[in-house]
Amino acid sequence: MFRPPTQVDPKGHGSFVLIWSFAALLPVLGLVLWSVLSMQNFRLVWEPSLQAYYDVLASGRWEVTVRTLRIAAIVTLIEIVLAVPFALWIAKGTRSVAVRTTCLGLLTIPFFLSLASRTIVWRGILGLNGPLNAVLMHLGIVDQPLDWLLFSEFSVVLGLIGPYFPPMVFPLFLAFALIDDEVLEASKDLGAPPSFTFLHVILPLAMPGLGAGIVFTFVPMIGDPVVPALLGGGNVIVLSASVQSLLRILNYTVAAALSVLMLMILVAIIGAASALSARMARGRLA
Amino acid sequence: MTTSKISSRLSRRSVLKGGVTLGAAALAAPYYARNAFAASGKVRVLGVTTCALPSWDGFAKDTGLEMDFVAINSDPGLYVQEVVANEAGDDYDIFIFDGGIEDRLGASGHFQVLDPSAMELWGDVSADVKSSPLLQGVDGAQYGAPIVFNADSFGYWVGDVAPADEELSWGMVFENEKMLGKISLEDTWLTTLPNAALYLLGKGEKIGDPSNMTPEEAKMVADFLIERKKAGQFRAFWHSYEESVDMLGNKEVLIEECWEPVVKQLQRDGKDVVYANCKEGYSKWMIGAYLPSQAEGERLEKAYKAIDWFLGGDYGAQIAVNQGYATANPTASLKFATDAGWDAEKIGAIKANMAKVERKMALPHYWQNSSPDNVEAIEAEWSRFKQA
Repeated sequence: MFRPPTQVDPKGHGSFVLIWSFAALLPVLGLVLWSVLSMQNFRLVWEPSLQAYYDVLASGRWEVTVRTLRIAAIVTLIEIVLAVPFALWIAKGTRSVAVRTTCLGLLTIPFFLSLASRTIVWRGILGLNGPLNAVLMHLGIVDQPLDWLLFSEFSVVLGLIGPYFPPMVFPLFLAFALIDDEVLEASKDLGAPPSFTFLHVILPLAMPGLGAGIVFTFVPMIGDPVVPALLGGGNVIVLSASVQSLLRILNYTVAAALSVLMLMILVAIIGAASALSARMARGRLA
Repeated sequence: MTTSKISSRLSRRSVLKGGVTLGAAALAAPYYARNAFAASGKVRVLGVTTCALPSWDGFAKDTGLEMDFVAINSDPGLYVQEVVANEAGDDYDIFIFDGGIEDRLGASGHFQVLDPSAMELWGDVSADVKSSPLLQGVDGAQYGAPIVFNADSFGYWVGDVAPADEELSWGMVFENEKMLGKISLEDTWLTTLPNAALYLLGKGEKIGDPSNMTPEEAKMVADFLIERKKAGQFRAFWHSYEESVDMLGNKEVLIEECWEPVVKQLQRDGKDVVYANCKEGYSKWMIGAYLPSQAEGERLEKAYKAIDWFLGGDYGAQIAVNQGYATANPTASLKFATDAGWDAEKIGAIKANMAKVERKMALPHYWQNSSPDNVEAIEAEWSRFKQA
């Protein structure tokens, strides 16, 4: 039986909070606890210390955190630039149901292949003896194969664009599709040029979609171990690799400290973003 | 550990055990089930895949036991987790792990010291091999039996780098101005740091044991590697076997610190690559068989019987032909293959393998140590190099 959310029994809220606390919040609290304990003979012992946080800063893992955030931010921006016009075109640009279904269908194809097998293809293309370098040399654009095409931050960014395109397009498409055509007509009738309509009508209405798109791309990219490992060639160390390396020697405390730091940064970023959008919303209403 | 410190990790298995006891009190069935399992002719091994055979028929025929081989990734962290936290010794009769681990798990009482008189073939294994620090604890107690070992170096393209049989320095890998950006390394502190240390040792730097460095020594080696990385020496780092085959095979790099089977595979594909003969020495590793402290009585008898078979000719001959690795008793391997009427090609491979192992053992070397005393510091230095 369906009931509107306002009529849901308060007990329902209570059980949600309880389940969520066990499933998500408790592990995070455990992580915070681990990060201030000490390790002895592969076991955690009750000797509170901030040594793990000091170790994070001393061994260059701090730079790893910054690099991971930078790569995720760059790719997210690229996704926005690519996905906004594409999603807008599917949602509003084409009236053909066949075209729309085909495009959305094509976007799901990557989900049928493992990320690793999709990514490994880039290796052959970008390598020193790969076709891209061969074409560049044949055309006389370069006289030596370019070594920064593969095993570099460039190849990691390039490799991340494909897999994280659909998660950006889908929420944007939904948000654009929900905008009533009459709103757009009205804007046009009142004499607004398309760019004005886009900036002041479409974009503000699609903000929830954009927000969801950023959450679905930026956040998982921070933990993605596959693409940086395959295309970075060990030269682009990201957070997941650093944590894995620590877990391999059972250094739980430093791994936990690194994760807690990243979590704090994420919370700070999301907090700042929501404060900013709240301020923008207030500004519009005023 | 002093009494004021409380271990915060509750063992999953000990909780389960509590449950089992309760269950057994209510119903005796679990007790009988467990006993029936112990009496079966099965040897349960938790081991790394490197030492597994495609078929254990020979084992079953010779020992009358059934081999139940459960694979584990080659990863010291995993071993400790299984043995200490999961108390895998309750379930397995033998562990076959990378040597060196007994320094931790032997001392902590999780492995038992081997009884040489329980194995018929123990006396035939050469003293050099048995006394590897990768099989003996820090106190010199014999915890491990040698199963498979080798001495690793690097692979290279003959035409582009050097003639096939030339004796080369590890400097070809680490400090080679002609090969800037043409070199790939294995992405682990376990092999790459000690190999670089071996090279620096040859250059006259003071390093006690490349595989058990002090934090200061590890820092010096990492500083050297960072300097070479900044000079553009290293093209990439590989993580998996397939990746290393691909990188060297495609000429993405011309020199690669790698495992010997990589070169073997590329040679089969007709590529002109060889495995280097090193001046300074090799990265020697060994996989050993260990007995969990829980194994006793009939279980222990079966375990010794199984280890004895690993020390024999059938196992050694198969490993030599398939993987090119060394085993405890090469003479027995050759005898087994000859007696069994193996073809000349296979017997030739066993002989070549014996000569190769002998030559490598004659050189100075270090034993790859998966649990050095200062592992946290060493991993941190490695991470500093990786992110530089």
